[in-house]
Amino acid sequence: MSTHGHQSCEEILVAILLYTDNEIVDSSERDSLESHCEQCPSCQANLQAHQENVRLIKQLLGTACREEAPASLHERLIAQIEWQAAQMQAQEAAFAPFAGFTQSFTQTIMQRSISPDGEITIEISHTEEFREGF
Amino acid sequence: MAVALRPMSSNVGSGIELADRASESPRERKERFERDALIFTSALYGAALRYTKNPQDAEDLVQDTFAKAFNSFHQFEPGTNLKAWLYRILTTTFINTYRKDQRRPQISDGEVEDWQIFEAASHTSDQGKSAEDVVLENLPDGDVKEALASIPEDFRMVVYYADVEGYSYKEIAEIIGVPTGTVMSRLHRGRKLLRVALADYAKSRGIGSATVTNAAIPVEGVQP
Repeated sequence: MSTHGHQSCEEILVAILLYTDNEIVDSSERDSLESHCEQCPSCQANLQAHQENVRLIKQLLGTACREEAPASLHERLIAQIEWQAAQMQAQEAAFAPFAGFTQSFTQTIMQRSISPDGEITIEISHTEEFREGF
Repeated sequence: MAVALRPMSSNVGSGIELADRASESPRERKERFERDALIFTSALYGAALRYTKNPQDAEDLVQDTFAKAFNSFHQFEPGTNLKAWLYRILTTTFINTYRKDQRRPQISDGEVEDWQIFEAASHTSDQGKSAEDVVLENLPDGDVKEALASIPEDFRMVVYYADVEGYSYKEIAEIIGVPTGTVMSRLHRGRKLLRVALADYAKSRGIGSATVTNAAIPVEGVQP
């Protein structure tokens, strides 16, 4: 591995990957990579080959993977959201008589225990309470 | 450059505040959701197809994703990246629901050394488009989709989010829930695997077999 400028060719290999994906934020780092590649034919060749490879993959996938959702899916989603909104609406209406209460608390505790002879006990306790807002 | 997935504050978007979102009626929420979120249906369907590999499951996955997103929509901060937020829900829904019973190969992250990552580009180049590139450019879309579907999911989805959706490493890291370093190594290894798969398709079609063989990119340590 040789050195052109501040960075070794080995360091440049990794930087090329980041550079190609626009992941180098620091402009001085970008400048350093560019000046290294200008002086180093092997890194320059690597940079070009990598950029070309990524360009090709993006082009191929970009064309092949652009999917259009079927109309039936759009209809299903509209119906689904409509149903969920109606459920929420109904829930709100059910709680309307408790309009003075602004907070509700629920607590569910499940305790499992196994006795030495292998008997499993499950205890479930559930509490619900409404508290006036404070 | 990279755009933050969830900026601390933002004056972009409709500017509806958290208090307003909490008090909006179900009908208002529905209208806001249909206007802002459902426009991404095709985008989500595209990603869902990459996850599930079949249209029926992809439709179900998209429906489950939007159902969850609607329930949590008041938690989403307008002005931040809604599409990426939906992709994040899609990913967790897929993992929790559709992949539950599937055994999948474990990929240990961070195992890829930098020199390994770089192999893809280290073959000698003739300073531009190679003969193999020309061959691959003419592959039918069906082959390209199958080649992508053939590589392991962890690599496939990172390549998809980066090279189809154009997300930054940081954004992908947030969508799939892994560190950015892992995104980088999976992306470069994924591209390598994809390139090999594409070359195989080209070869099986008998197009450009000689050049493809010469330029095949070695991939080490991957057991798909």
